[in-house]
Amino acid sequence: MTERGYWLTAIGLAGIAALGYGLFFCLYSYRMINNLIDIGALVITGFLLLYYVYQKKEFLFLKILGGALACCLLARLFSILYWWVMHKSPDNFSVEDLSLWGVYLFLFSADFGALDRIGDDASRNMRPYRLGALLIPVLVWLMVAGICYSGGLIGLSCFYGLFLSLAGYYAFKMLLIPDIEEGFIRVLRPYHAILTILVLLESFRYFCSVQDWLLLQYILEWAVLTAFLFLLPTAVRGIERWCII
Amino acid sequence: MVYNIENIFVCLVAPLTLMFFLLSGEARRLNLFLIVGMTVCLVAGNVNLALAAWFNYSLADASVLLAPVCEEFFKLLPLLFYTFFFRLSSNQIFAAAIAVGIGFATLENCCYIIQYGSQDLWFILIRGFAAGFMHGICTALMGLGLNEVRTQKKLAYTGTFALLCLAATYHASYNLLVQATDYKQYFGVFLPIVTALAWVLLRKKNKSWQELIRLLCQAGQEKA
Repeated sequence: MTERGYWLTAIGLAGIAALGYGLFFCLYSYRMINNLIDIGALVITGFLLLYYVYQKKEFLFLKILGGALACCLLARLFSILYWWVMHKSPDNFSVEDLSLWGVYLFLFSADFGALDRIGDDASRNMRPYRLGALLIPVLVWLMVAGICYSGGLIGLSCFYGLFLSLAGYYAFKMLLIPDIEEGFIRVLRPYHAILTILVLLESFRYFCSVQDWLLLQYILEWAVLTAFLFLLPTAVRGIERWCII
Repeated sequence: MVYNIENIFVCLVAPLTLMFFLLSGEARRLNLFLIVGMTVCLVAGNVNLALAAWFNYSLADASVLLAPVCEEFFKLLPLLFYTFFFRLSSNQIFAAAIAVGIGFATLENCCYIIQYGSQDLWFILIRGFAAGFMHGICTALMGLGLNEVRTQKKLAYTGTFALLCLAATYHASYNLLVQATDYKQYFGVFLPIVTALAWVLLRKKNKSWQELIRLLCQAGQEKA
């Protein structure tokens, strides 16, 4: 499959998800249907990732992305199963939350462990970029403060905020820092742009869920899924360039 | 039925300890990790009970929300120690991870049989395979992940916790399904069996599945 194929699949899946989300908005159990749509889209994306890993070399970066995808898939699956077996949603802490932390931990690991040491040489010259990248954690923590102020669970929100801000910080830093000789940073800029947007969308979605702004939350859920689907083609694009370089 | 998990543990570990001194090499190492798995099960079981009482969770909630996180955490500890303090091949780490999971499942199954009876052979058989596969898959997943990240320190810190999240969610999904009282529990029982079969098929190097995928890839490229 070519790079174009991955893009077309992501666009197609986002379109189908939008249609599905729109069709089932009025239903009582629409959240379960949304989760089913998410599972369908994520399974297809997961198969594409597997296909790519078998077709090309097994890059650690893609394996970590696969871990994030698996976490997201299991979170949705657990949510559906809990509702199916218990006929209710979990009251406070749920394993689904743990899985969602895992998604952002995996995404953070890919940048922190694999890319950061290439782009950031820990010199003084990099300080402005490091400081500039703090913008995303500040925004995320503003949302977390809003969630806590509105009566959200403080411990859970803080943990979620921590992992989101870590993933967002490194993604935004990779957008800001100058490229190195081989062009490794430049080729993954679209991926990091989408990851930054994903982090901001997810924190805003979490904020909306506490405020009970149903329609906005609904739109943001779709936007988060779409951003997640677009991570794969942008990552593949970057990896393809690595091979050429 | 009231039972004492410590006594069952002693009963199971005693012959294995004897074996440990008789065996050597790879077999000895696997034997040790079976004992470690059982020890982890003993510790995790007691911690689970204490935490459930502390948080005032019901048995059903504790088995879905607490036990997976707690058990996976304790299973990860020996693997972390083994992976980062010894220079071993990926196969050795994988085998150790599976052995810890199987050891854990063995003690858990014994407790299950004593508590719920052993009259229904068919269900005991399925339950035995399912719990064994599930614990094996979870620890194997963490073992494989640790093997990937152990050479890169920065990645190891964050990646390990992410792997724990992944394994705990899978474990929780299984626990959730098997505790259902109707037909839904069969989905839970077959979940790890199906996952294990898919994994075995995908892991077989140079065998039919990979060849098939490669052929499909080649056909796609030629068409493009």
